[in-house]
Amino acid sequence: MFDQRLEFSKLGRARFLSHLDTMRVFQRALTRARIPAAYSQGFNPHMRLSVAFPLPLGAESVCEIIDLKLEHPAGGLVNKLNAALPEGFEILRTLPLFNLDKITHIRYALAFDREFENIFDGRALVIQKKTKRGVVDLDIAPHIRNAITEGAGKHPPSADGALFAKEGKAYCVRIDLSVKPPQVSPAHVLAALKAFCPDIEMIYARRLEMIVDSCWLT
Amino acid sequence: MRVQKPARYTGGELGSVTKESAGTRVCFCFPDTYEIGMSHLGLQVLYGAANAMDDVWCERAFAPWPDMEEGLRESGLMLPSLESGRALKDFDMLAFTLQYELCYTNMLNMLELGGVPLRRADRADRLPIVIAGGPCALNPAPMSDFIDAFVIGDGEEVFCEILEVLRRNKTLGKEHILRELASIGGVFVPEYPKNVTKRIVQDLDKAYYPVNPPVPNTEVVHDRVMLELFRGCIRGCRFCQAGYASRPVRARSAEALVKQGIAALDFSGCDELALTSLSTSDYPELDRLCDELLEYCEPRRISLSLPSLRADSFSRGLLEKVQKTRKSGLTFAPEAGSARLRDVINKNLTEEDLLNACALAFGGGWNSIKLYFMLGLPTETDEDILGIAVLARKVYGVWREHTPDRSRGARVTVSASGFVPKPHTPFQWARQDSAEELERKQRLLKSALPKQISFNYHDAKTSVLECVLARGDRALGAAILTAFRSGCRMDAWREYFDFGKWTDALKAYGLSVEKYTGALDTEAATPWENISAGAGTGFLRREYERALAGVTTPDCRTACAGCGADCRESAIHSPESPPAAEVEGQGIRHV
Repeated sequence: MFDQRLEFSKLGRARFLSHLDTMRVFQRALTRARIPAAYSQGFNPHMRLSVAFPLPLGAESVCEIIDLKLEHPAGGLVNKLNAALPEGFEILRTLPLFNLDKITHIRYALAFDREFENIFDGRALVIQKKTKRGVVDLDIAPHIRNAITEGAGKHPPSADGALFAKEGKAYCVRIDLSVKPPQVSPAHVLAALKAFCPDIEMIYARRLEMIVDSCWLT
Repeated sequence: MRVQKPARYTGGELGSVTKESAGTRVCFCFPDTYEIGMSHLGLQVLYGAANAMDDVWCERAFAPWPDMEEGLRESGLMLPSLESGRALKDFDMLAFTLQYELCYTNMLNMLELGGVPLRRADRADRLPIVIAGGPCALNPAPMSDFIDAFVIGDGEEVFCEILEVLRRNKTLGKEHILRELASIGGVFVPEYPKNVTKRIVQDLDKAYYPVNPPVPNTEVVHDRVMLELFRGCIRGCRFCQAGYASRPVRARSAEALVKQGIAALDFSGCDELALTSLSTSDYPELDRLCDELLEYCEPRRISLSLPSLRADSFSRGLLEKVQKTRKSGLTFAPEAGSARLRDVINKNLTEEDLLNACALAFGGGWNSIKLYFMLGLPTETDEDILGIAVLARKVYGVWREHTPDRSRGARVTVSASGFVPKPHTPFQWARQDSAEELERKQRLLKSALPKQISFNYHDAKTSVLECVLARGDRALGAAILTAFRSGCRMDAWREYFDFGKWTDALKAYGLSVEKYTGALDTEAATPWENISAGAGTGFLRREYERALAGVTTPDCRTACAGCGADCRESAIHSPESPPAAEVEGQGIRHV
């Protein structure tokens, strides 16, 4: 059995595929590409693959991690898989195996439909978070860092039809969100902003980087 | 805009086609959700066949779920195609498939959301041309106010002929194009009414088969490669529209099927291959076909599924073949609970056949069997209904006797739908039970079934509406439009079905449910009189009389019943069995 870790991007319309659909897309692509994926034992064997840190539906990413188990190492894996993947998915490179627990934050670019005050200055940002035990108040400020607000228009929404993207200017922030409990998602950042600017909507989100301790993963 | 399951609307699947430079733009419209439409082989066939043409780009659109509809209406956006995002109104042609009557309002909704006037009278001078095919086109009358042209019969050749006419005449105006379309065999244009005989593709081996269809990225109802073994059916169950209207029987060769199946599996990466047809076990070379496909599928963990098996041809050999890959539940369809009623409907299946098949299956390790029945069949009595419960108990008893492991428990499910008399069948004149009567029969059956057997049934009012729409006439169109305007859509979905709105709409035009569900005069003209689907009216009438007399008619291989369908001897008879002689004493003539 051979472990293979890959980094892939999920862009454009593919961002509307759920985590489960993403797994399905990879299962299909591995079969099409004739890559010797390993299967689980049991009555209903399934392909052994896992995608780390499920991406929120609607968000793009250029830093997704997928772990595959293969029967044996496969030559030309990246090219073969890229030829078999549908629009929006691309394998960027193979990654070394390391403990994913080392990843503490994920860097996002988030874009909003109107100008907002830079609230990421250390002040408390209390939102309501749904947990298994019900809705709890959570201050997300300690779990976000390195927020850099950027002027309008630096990250325009990807142009894939009028259905899902609003037109007009985008106001952006780059921000590192914790993946350690309590996890913070782009939706939580939006909720924090709404406390100050009730009408604001998020029009775009993209994962940029997985961050290990305070270093970037290279 | 926030919607559930956005992957329904985004497209971009592997196998979806982009042809920006094409001069003729057509959108294949499926009036139900993406998950249902993408499970439909006909869509894949016609999408592929159209896109194989020069200068034609065929895209796809599906009915939006009500949350998406609301979003579109609120934001003022129009329903777009999946591939290019173009609004439906900007296509040259919209090609709908009408697979079941309850999607009629969805079709109107798609037109409206796409910016297309609903009534053809309101768009007489402009494109798009709206065409429709599929089983419901066999009675064009109720939707004739909205559809410019109906396609009767097999679509793969005639759809391309229609697109060729469109491509060559696009600039000459709609009236000219419609006249041209009316001259194509198998096309019914309500503006220029005439008698139409359905189109038949005689040699299926030469027909287009999609080896590289769009592969859904999200979960759909049937996520599998489908191989159509044959069209038509030798059986002649008297309620079954597909069984009569898809005659004559034509089979694909095993060689072609193996080649197509492997190519489609290679392309899609699917892990299931389904052998589909109206009665798969009647395929002459089924053993050989399964063996050759299993040779490919087994090492690749691809499961082979055989829906539509008849209990009387379910053999140990076949069982072992489907067992080799994954084991899903088995479904048999006795349709009626008593031998008498099974003779009336010409099911030609004995209790012994069914119990033998169940014994084989349970003995082979299956523990889940589903039995399909119909309630409200012509001549049905309460005794017939109680017979369903008796039969189900016997099946459960067979499980106790034959299962290798009783501790795992058995799942025997009885599923009962309401009988709907359909055009082009011997029962097209029969009366349908009222919703109240069907509901009483459901309760009767439920109370007679032991609790170990699970029971599910179709909503009776849904079956009644299905009958109204299936046997509808030209007068019904206005009521369909009114029902749609009052909010009816997604009628096949329990959470949205509103029977009250439908009865109100009928009332508004002086119509009633009973007008369409009552017995029809067998000598009077039907609304679908101008459509010839294969079996002649005289033959259907004769079959109806035999049904009421409880006389069965043998299958086409045993003896030709003279239905009038344009069949080739060689297609009916398997290579192994010689053509059968007429069966004595059956009173059946060759025509």
